[in-house]
Amino acid sequence: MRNKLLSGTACAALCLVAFGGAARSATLDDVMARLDRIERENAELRAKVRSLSVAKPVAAVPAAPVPTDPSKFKGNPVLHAAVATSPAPPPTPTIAGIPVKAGPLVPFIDNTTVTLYGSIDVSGDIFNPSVFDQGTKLGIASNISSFGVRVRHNLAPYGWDGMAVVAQLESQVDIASAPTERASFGTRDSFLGVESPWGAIKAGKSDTPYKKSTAAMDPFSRTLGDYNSIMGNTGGDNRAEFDWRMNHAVWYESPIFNGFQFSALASPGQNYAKDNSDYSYGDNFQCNGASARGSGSNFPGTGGAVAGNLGGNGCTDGSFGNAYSAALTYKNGPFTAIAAYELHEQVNRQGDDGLGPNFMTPVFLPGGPAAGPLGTQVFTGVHNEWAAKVGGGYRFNDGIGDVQLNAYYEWIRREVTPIEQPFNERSRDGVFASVTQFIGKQWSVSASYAHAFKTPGNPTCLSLNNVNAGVACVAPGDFVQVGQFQANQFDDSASQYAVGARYYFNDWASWYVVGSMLTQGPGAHYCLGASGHGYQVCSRDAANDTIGGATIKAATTGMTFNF
Amino acid sequence: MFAVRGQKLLEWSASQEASQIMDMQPPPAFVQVQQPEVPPDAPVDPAPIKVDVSKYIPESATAVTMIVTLTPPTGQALIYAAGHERDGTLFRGPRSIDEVKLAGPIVYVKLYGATNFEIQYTNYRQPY
Repeated sequence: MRNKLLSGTACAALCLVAFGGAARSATLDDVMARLDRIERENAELRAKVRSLSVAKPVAAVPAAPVPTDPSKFKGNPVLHAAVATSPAPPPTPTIAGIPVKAGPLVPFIDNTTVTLYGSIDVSGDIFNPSVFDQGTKLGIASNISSFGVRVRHNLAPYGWDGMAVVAQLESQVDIASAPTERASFGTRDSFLGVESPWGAIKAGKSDTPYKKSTAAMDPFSRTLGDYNSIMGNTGGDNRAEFDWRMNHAVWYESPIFNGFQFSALASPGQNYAKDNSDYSYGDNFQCNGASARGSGSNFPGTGGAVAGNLGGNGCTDGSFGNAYSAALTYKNGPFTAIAAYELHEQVNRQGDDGLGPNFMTPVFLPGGPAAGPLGTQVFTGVHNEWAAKVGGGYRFNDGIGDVQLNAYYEWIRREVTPIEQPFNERSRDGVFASVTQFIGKQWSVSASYAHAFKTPGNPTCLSLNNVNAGVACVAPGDFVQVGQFQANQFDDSASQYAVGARYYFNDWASWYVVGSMLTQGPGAHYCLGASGHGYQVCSRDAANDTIGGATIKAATTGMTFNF
Repeated sequence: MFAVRGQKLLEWSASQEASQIMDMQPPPAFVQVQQPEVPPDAPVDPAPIKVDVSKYIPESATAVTMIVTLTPPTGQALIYAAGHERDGTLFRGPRSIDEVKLAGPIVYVKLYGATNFEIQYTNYRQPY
C-alpha cells in the first residue's frame, strides 16, 4: 500500500513537471521565432542559388571540362563527353496534343520524321558552240533542280537500338524547261532501306558510289563548267556513263570508321535480251544506261530509236547488263582521298557496227587510199566497260581564307578485241583538278581543268564545220570528204577550262557566275554541260550533224537555293 | 515553406485548445501568413557541348547521320547546328540513329537527363 502511494506521488510529480515544460515551449512567440529563423535561413540559401545562376549564364558557361575536341580522341570515330545531369527534359512540342519530334517537319506518325527538301538551280546562259549555223545564243536552264520527301522511322523504341527505316522519294523538277517524264516523281535517288550501326542497306535507284566519290571535287557541278563534259564520259557527247544514277539497284553504305567509308552497289541487268539489246524488266521504253528521252534510250523519236516495244532490240547504244560500283573514301581533317571502281557488263554498242541480230546492216568507213573495195568495216560488238579513279584533296588556310585543292586520275576502258580497237572510242584516261579559294564566309572563287586523253579509235565519220556537214561520207573513199571525215584518223583529246565565283547569302542560298571553254581535237565531239546542266551545248548543227573538233565557249550566271 | 508555417500554426492552435483546459489562458489570435509572390525556380537549361564534325565529315556536307548512345538510357540529347537550335534533332536513349542538319563544322549537344554521350558517324549528305 505504501509502495503504491509512493509510486502515485512520483507519477503525479513527473506529470506536473512535464506539463509545465510543455506549456512553456508552446507559446506563440517561441513558435514564431523558430519559423522566422527558418525563413531567414531559406532566404539566405535562395539568394546564394540565384547568385550562382546569374554569375554563370548558360550561354557563357563553357561546358564542363570534358574532352569535346575530336582531335583528342585516339583513332575512334566515337566522341565522348559528359556534363552534369539536368533536372528536366526539354518541353516537347505538340500539335493537336500529339508529341512531335524536333526536326524540320512534324512527323505523320510517332518515331517518324518526314522531311520535305529540295534544291533549285536556275541560270541564265550565253554560249557559242563555234558551229557554222549556230552562233551565240542565250538560254535559261533549271539545272538538276529537285524536290523530295525523306522519311526516317526510328526503330529504337521497338527494340532495335540504333536502327531506322529510311525512305526517299526524289524527283527532278524542270522549272525552266517543258516538263516530261524525266521529271516524274521518283526519277532521282529514291529508295527504301534500313540504317544500323553496321551500315545501311538500301534498294531502289541511286547515284553510284563511283559518282558520289568525287562529286564534291567539282566546284562547277550543274553549271556549263560541270566536269562531266569529260570526266566519266566515255565517248564525249552528252552522256557521262560513269557518272550515273543506277536504276533497279541495291547498295550498302558502311558507317564511317576512322575516316574511312566504303560503299558498294549492284544492279542486275534484268534484260529481256541476252545481248542487252532490249529493255530491262520494268524499264519499258527506256533502255538501260540511257537517260530518259536521251541518246540511246530508244524512246520513240529519239536518235537511233527503232520501232517496236519488247523484242525490238533497239537498245544498241550503250545498254548494259549487270552493273557494279564501289568506292572507298577517306577523310581525316584537311586531307581526303578516294578510290572507286565501276563495271558495266556486256555493253551493247552495235548501233555503231550495225551487226545486231535484227539489223545485219554492216557499217563501213571510207578507209582512205589503202581501203579495200568496201572500205573499212566497223566492229564494236558487246563488251564489258569499266572505269577506275584515284584522287585526293587538301584544305588549308592561306591567310585570305580556306583553300580547297582536289585532283584525281581516271581510267576508262572498253574490253574489245584487237580487230575492234580502231573503232574503240570508249577507252581513254582522264585527269581533273580544281582549286577553290574561300574569301571570308561570303565569297569563293574557283578554277578547274579537265583533260581527256586520246582514245584508240572511233566508229564514225564526223562532220566538217561547214554547210556540207550533212553530206555523209562514203566508203571506200578518202579519209576527208566533202561533208565529213573519218574520225579515227584524227586526234580526239580534249581539254576543258572553267573559272567562276560564288557569293553565299547564307548556308542555303548562293549566286554564281562561271565561264567555261572546251577545246578538242578534230576527232572529238565533247559537249559542255553533260550530265549536269539543264541542257548540253554540243558541237552540232541545226540538222543534228556532229561537228568534229569545235571549240565551245559558255558563260553562265545563276542562283541556287537548297532547303 | 510558408505553407508549412501555416500548417504548424494550425497544429499549434489545436494543441493550445487542449492546454487551455489546464492553463485557462485566452486563445491566441489567429495569424494569417500571406504568401509572397515569388515565382518558382525555373529548371536550369543544360550547357551546350560543342562538337566539331569536320574531322571525318566533309566541309561541304549539309547533313550528317549519326548514332548517339546515351547514359543513362533514359536520357535525351538535342543536337543542332550553330544558330539552328530550333531546328535540332532529338536523340532518345539508349541508342538511336538520326540525321542532323549542318551549317558549318560545329554542332552543339544538349543533354537532358543524360550524363554521357557517344556519337558514331554513319553517313553524310552532300548538297546535290
